[in-house]
Amino acid sequence: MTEEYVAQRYAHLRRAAFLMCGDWAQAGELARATLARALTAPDVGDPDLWAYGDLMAAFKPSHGRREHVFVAPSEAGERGAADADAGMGDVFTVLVLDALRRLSPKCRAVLVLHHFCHLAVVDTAEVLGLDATKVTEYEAEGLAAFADLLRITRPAVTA
Amino acid sequence: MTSVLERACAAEPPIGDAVDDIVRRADRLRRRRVRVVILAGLAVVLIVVLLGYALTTVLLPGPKPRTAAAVPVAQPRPSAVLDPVLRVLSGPVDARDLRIVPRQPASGPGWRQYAVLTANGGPHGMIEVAVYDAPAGLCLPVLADPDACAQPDRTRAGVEYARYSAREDRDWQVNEVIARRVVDGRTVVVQATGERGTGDAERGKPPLTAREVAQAATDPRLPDAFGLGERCNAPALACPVLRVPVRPAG
Repeated sequence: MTEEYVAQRYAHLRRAAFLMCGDWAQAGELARATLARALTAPDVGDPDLWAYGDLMAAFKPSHGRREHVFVAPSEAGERGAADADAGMGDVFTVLVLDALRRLSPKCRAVLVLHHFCHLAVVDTAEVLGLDATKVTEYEAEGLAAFADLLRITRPAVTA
Repeated sequence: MTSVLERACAAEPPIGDAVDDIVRRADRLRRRRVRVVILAGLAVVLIVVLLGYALTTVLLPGPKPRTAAAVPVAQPRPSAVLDPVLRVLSGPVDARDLRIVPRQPASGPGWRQYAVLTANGGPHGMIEVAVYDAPAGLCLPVLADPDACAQPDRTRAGVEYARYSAREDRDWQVNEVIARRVVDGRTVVVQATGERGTGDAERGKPPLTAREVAQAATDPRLPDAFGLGERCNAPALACPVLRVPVRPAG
């Protein structure tokens, strides 16, 4: 694994972490720690799978991490109310993150890995240590819950 | 779903110096791992050393404790302490302001001989001690009658003895006592001979009187001062020539 890989994958890993935790600062910290470990790991095999697995291990319930809803970056706060599009984007982000937060961590991880990171079901199962059937069940459960939540909140977003 | 999630990340802050920071973190991790490996190696070595020490301490015998018997005694001892025969004889000799020392050849199986010296180191005769086994009995000679046996004196300790004094020859004056322990027939002869060849009856007198010789010969320590196998029973050519010879029965 090289610095070039790090430069290519850092942004994507941070986004995945952000969807999991809802905090850009924490997401950046977790992504940096994961890639630093990946640089020093002797044999990582598939670097993407290794990095996703290391990143998702940070969100296991046993770690007892506090759930974040959304922490806006400082730049977003400084933009002020004048930028209406940006403000609306923040509201949408809060709603999505809140919907994700209501899912179980594994269900959330399945949605992020399969639908955001575009991992196959088999790879998602390998990263999370689940079998493929369970991944499919989590995905169906998550999509249904997510659709309900978005349907309820969409009027507020589009108002 | 994918577009929803991507839109939620729209307000992403800039990356900044993340790549350099990741590289620095990786370097720190590598150094930390090297330190951990080195410390683990040192810990393993320390554990092996401690285990080895503990096992050798527990399993192998340590140095033997020094007992009082094993401690060398540096203090000088008088010869009488090391020679039990001399211990018995030195009492009456010392009482006369004389000195008694082994005379070469000083000992053999069943006999000892000592020179007696005056206070200024001059010769004053000698004392010879010999032991015999006479379990079947002993005829104590009578000087006047070679065929008779003397009636012995007896001590409270069960020792029969006879005293002999020969003063006729001024160059060979002898006080001799033959003492036999009745219980086992162990017989001790003590012969005190004056310095010979002086031509002077006074200077040729034995160093101990007949009474003193009798006290030494009947001392219970004297027969036990010899080993069990020691004896001058015939043939014993090296044993002292006694003025009155001993002839055990049987």
